[in-house]
Amino acid sequence: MNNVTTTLSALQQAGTEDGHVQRASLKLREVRDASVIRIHSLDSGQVTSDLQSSEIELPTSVGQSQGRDPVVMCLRPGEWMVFSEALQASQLLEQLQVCQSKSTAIFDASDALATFRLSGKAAPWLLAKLSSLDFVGNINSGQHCARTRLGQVAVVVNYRQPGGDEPAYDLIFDRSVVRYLWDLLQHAADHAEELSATNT
Amino acid sequence: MSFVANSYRLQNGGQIDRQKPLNFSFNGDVYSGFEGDTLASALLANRVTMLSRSFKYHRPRGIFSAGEEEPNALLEIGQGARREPSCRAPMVPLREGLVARSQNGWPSLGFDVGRSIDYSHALWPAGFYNKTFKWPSWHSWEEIVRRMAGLGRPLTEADPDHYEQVNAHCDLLIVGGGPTGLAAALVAGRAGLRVMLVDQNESFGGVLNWEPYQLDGADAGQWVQSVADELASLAHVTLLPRTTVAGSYDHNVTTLLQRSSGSGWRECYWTVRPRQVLLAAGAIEQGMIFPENDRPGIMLAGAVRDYLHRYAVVPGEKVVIAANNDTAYQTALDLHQAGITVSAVVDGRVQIDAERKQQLQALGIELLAGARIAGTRGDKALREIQIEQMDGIQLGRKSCDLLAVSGGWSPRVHLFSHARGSLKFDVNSQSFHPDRLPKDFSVVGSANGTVGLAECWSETVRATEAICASLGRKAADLKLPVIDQAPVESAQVSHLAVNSRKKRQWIDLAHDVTFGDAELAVREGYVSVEHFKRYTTTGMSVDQGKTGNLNAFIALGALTGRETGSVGTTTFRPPYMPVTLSAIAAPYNGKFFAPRRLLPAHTVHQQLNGAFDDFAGWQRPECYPRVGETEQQAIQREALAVRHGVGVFDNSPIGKIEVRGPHAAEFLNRFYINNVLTLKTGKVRYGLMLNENGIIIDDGVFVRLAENHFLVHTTSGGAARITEMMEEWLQCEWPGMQVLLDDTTTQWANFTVAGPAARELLTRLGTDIDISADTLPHMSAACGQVMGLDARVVRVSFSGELSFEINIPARHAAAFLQAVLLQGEDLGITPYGIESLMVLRLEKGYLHLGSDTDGTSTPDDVGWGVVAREKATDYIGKRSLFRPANLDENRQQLVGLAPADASQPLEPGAHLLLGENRQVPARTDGWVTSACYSPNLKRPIALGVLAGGSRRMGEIVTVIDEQKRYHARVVEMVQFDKGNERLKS
Repeated sequence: MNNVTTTLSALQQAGTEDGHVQRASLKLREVRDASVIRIHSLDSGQVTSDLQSSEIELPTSVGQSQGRDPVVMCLRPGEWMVFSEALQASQLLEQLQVCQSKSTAIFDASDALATFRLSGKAAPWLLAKLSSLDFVGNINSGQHCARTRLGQVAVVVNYRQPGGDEPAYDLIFDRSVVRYLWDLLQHAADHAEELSATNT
Repeated sequence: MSFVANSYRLQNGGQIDRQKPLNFSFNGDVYSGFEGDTLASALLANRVTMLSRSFKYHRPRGIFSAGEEEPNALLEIGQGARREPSCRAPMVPLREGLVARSQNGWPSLGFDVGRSIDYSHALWPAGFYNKTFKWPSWHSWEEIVRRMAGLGRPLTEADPDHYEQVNAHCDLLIVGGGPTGLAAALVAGRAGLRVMLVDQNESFGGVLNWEPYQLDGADAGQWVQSVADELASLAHVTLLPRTTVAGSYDHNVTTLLQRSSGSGWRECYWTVRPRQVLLAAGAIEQGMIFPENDRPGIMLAGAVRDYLHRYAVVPGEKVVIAANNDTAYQTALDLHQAGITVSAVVDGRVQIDAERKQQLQALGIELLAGARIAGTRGDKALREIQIEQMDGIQLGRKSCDLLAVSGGWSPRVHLFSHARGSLKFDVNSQSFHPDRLPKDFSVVGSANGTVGLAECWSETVRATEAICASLGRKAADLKLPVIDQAPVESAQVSHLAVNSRKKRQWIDLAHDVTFGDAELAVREGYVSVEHFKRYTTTGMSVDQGKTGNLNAFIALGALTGRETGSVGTTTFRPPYMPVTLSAIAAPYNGKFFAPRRLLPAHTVHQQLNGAFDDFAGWQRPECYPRVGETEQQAIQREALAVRHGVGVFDNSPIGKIEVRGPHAAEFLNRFYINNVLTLKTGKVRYGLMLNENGIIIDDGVFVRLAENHFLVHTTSGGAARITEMMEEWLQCEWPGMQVLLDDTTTQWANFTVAGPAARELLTRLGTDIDISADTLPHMSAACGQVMGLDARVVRVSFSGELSFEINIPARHAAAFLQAVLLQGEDLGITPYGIESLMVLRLEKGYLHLGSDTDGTSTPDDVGWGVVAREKATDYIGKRSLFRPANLDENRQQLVGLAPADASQPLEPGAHLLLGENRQVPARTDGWVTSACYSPNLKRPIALGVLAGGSRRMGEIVTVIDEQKRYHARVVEMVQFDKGNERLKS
């Protein structure tokens, strides 16, 4: 059997080579080869209980996210997204296998999604240009996630508890629009820095 | 009096920087002003008193106000693609090189042919276009009328400037940065609330910037500066000068338009979601109704003070003041102090405050109490006024070039009205004040009808403290400055009877609505304020009645014998000020207009010279033209290659919804017209989905991967829509069903290998799936490995050839496609695009949703009526299929078409008429829905819808294709491989 082994990052697949933007108060880069597993269950209590013995703990409130790597985000009642840079999808699936049942679907969404990491003082303002959520005011409210639209693109935004004083976000979205969102974020970056400078 | 040479500029004073002169032009003439001027102040300083022609009558008009309420001086600013029509001159900051033009006069502002409308005004009363221009139709005249009465010319070139948008949240949005807004911001800011303070002017302070206030023994400007500095130092306070609040919507969503201060963007459109709104927008001074009250040189008394104090400009040398309240007296005092002659104050009231009388007497200014303006003279500038007693006895004429008027003050309640607050009439001030407050919305200061700075501040502090408390914050005590000096204030405004004998009294300068128009409207029965507004057009469009509404209510009251307050009010609508469309659209134009979805193997398609186009949001190759080949030639070549060898097609956008759970089969059975329950694991079935009206909304195959696990293929681009629909039914109608829905469309790339050599190619690629015809026949599926990748292989065919749809993880798409092309090289593998696939499916007569169906197509219309009706169990849309209209045998039904002359191509969209000898005009009996030249059949083929088509097999129909007329025969939809031997091989 001839094996296919070549893989490209989402931006490379879309014909964009350089996946880094660095400005005075903004950094934007593509997170390559991240693993994303989605858990969808009709019985939240059961799946939470099933995972108690594993290293992965499911947050119980919508919009809550926890863990550094993997990060688990609660997107809606009965639906979670598990995100990891360190672990492969197969490893995550193995850990989560314990809760697979008739009422729970666990599946790899790594290929369906792309991830950008946005950080810096102006990052909340950049997001505020494209989404109606309150990113600026939520800086101090700890690690959390939200589903929103940036421009017209559906995005899961995970606010990472920053190590320093600069906010950082992971933007997880459909891989097919990676170039559109990359270009849009770059386009929106200029004024975001100006807004940040005048309003914070 | 000491003027700068040849101008109305005072030698001293004003908040302008005389060290920074600025040159600008108006109608081609070059003038100069200073940094800090507006276009209006600079023009007035240069004695340019006539700036425009009126909207309808083309009468000469000058500057009337000093703010956004300006109804006359709407000018075109800028040049080329940066030209902006209908800018209010008082709101345009002066800059070096600014180019301004008047916009409603031809051939020139000074000599305007359109003035003939004024001279023949009796022919053009309100609503004239509904009466005069009925023959042959209004549309014959519309362009001429609109050209003559327009508000400037729209741009014809793309706007080259950059616009921004931003969303923001705050605890308290304060609208208006005058004394009350600043005090509120200070209270809320110190309490730790997230505050946004918005003001449309260049700087905060409002009336404190131009009225003679003294606070704590110093000029009010010092207090303004100290407050602004403190607010700027608070991280949770956002200050937005040069920003106009455009509209207030549900849940306090508020839109703002911020003008640039020289950044790389021109305007920024804010959408703010505040928890509370505090309206501190002040009040707008109103004009007065008297004959010929629209001449250049007639200006609001408050505006005169504004120009005097802020810009050191006096718009006239011989001044008369007309008023019905005390505030205009301040204008007389200030002008006198500046050395300007005020010859008289004409006050409609008989009882005048003793202090006011003494003040005028001391200055030698004549006071005419119980009098009013009976008429004015002058064309391009005011020359003279006529004064009469309220009972009509003439008091004589006075020569003047400036008439400062004040008809009282009307609170700026537009935003309050947007937020659905209700208004009440206040007899004392003769204006409408806020009554019932919308939720989380407060109004303070002059905007609430409160008079006097001390009272306004007191009210503001109380309101802001209440807001702080409601948001869980305690407001700190605010020590406000002592008011040592304030301008004349007036809580009492006298209602003045309108001189109803004179028709040409303007009640709305912006729309050229006269008292005569109002009288006509009432005479014709438009006595409801809403009908009256629409008939006369008063208060409509971009002006929104800032200086016209109150006049209109007074006029309507006078004409119908009602008190002004009982006339009612109309609804103010957003935007408060015109908002540039570019700002609303930004940044979603050009390449950001809509997301462009790229295939996971996009770069490989580029390398293959794919001719891309948009298909339901996806960028997909139509075909792959070779060097020297047209797209049509490429399509023909690719369609032939698939039939004779093997082709590969990127079908990744096809929708892939996974449906899992104990009730998955039953759930899907309620959507498809086909039976889902009987489908065996590993098998595939084609199905149609309907809406409740029985109309086809999607089609595709569904695969049973396991007992409780289905894969639903939707049309490309339809996955999100169908998932959403299924979720809605699941959550709202069938919440008891144990079903999980997940759209996995982009997780899997999908490559179709099709053609006689498809099986050979798949074998070469390497797979652990038994792909023999016996084990994996047509309409079956299997999971396994292809080229070492997890794969789902589905044997379905949209080309009519032996075909395998290979689904692999999307990140490997590019490498996989390259490997397929490499392995198939000696088999003559040909990548084929979506247009080539359309040729292949048309040869097979396969339905293409959206091309062969529309919003009326039912299963009967496309040949699936029997299946749909005979399914025993219920499904969405089934009931509607039995409606009489859906059972009509003359419905337009899908048929195959072959041209009678084999050399005659059929074109999609061509109309079909039953019979051979039909002529147009005629009611259409159908149309061609899809057509192409078949390289395999070597003749044109087509599908079309035809009235009663299913029983017209073999009939000849007339085809009308624009100017061409020819014939076609109704044939079966399947025109190639009718026995389906190839796809089953």
